Amino acid sequence: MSVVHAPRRRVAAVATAALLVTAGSGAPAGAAEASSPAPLGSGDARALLTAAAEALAHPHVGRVSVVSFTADGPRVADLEVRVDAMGATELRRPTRWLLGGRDGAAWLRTSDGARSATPSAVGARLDVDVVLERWEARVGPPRGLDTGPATPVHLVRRAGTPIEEVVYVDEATQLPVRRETRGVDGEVLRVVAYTSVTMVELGAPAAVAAPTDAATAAVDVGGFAADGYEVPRSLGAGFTLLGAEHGDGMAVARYGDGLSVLSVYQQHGRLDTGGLDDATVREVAGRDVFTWPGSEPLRLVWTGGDRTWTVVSDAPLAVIEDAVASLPGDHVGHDVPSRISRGLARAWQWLRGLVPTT
Amino acid sequence: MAGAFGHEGDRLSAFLDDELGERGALEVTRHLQRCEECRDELEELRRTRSALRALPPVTPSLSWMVETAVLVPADEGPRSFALAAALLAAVAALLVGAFVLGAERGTVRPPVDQMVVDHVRSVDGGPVVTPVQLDGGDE
Repeated sequence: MSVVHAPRRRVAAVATAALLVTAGSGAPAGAAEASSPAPLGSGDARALLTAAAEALAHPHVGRVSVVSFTADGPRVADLEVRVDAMGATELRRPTRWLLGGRDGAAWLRTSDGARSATPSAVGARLDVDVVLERWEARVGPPRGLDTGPATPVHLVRRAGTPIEEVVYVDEATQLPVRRETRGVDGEVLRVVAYTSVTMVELGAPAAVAAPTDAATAAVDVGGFAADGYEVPRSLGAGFTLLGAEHGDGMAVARYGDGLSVLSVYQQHGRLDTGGLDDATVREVAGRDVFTWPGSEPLRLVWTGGDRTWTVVSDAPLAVIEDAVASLPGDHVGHDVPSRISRGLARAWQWLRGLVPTT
Repeated sequence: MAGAFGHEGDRLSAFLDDELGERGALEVTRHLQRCEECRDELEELRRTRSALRALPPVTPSLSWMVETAVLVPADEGPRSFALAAALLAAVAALLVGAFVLGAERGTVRPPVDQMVVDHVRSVDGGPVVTPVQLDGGDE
């Protein structure tokens, strides 16, 4: 059955991707290309982003399409998003929940069953000061989207790979209803867009404090070092520590650049590559990293300093690579010649151990 | 039977090897009694054979044996072929063993799916729309 439907799904994915991409670059976008967005100064961008940050705390429901582009073609996921009065987010597909939380528990339901997850105590919010510090912002002319007219804020990363992100702020709800991630050549890497959104009036919005530098400074990373974990206060590409926690043989540190969040997980011991058959190996900053191209959020796994590192982030791959370059990493070599060479070396060491030294 | 020019050239070697019949040997003997040229040729042939028998035995090199085993059909060199096959099998076993031994022998299998859930929960809808494709793409 899947064989019959696969081409149809692929055509649908391509069509959806094309519609979503052109939705942000249609007639209004064409006009924007002809006359590039006027640099109105960071003040206007600040006002728009501040309004967006406040709107995010309001309860709302909507439908979101996520399109990422890979060598195998676009991948599309349609999700329903529900943000409740307490600021908690639930994501689900039209037929089943993917990620939900109730009574302090969180869980993910996938094709192979439901899994529970412990909610993180470390959150991340849109911090306008951080965004404007690390991204060069300019405001473009309003454009018509599925959700109505919206104003784009063009953001270009100041440090590292000059990735551009465009955040569209809805005129009616002030929500950031569309996010485009572009590569260094301007090509679209990913589009995340609300196709419909409705604000829910339930009284006062949840009071959620944005992490600040003071909050970051309060993170006690000394305890992590005592347990053998490494938690730097900043990474490359302008990511700074938002918070960290550890327990159950694992530590997680959360970093942000104002727009994306990067979660770094550490476990003692080297990576068992036996269960990573579906991953792709690539070299990042001199280390062998397992990754899954096209997955959202992106995941990277590698061995470094006798620990296994896993990074999960919604930042583009090039930015993640800049960020994790300063973390420990081993060049293991998973190709056939490397494995044979390593095996011969181990056998030689073992044989030398058998011979008594005089 | 005498040669084309009345000599016994072709039959001299067989005469030396005692491969001629009684009648043939008698004919060659009679011819040799009256032909000095054939007597000289017979003597030369006899000296050559003696010289060859005096040479020391030759041991073939390993490379020659492998090459011969590869090039010569099995029924012509069974021992060489078996040796070459054994050598190749040993090299293959060594490489396979080294490949197995060279695997990254870590013990940690990170629960990547759980971490993705944890990450998405931590992002909690912000800072802007969260890109997430849990459970694959457009299924």
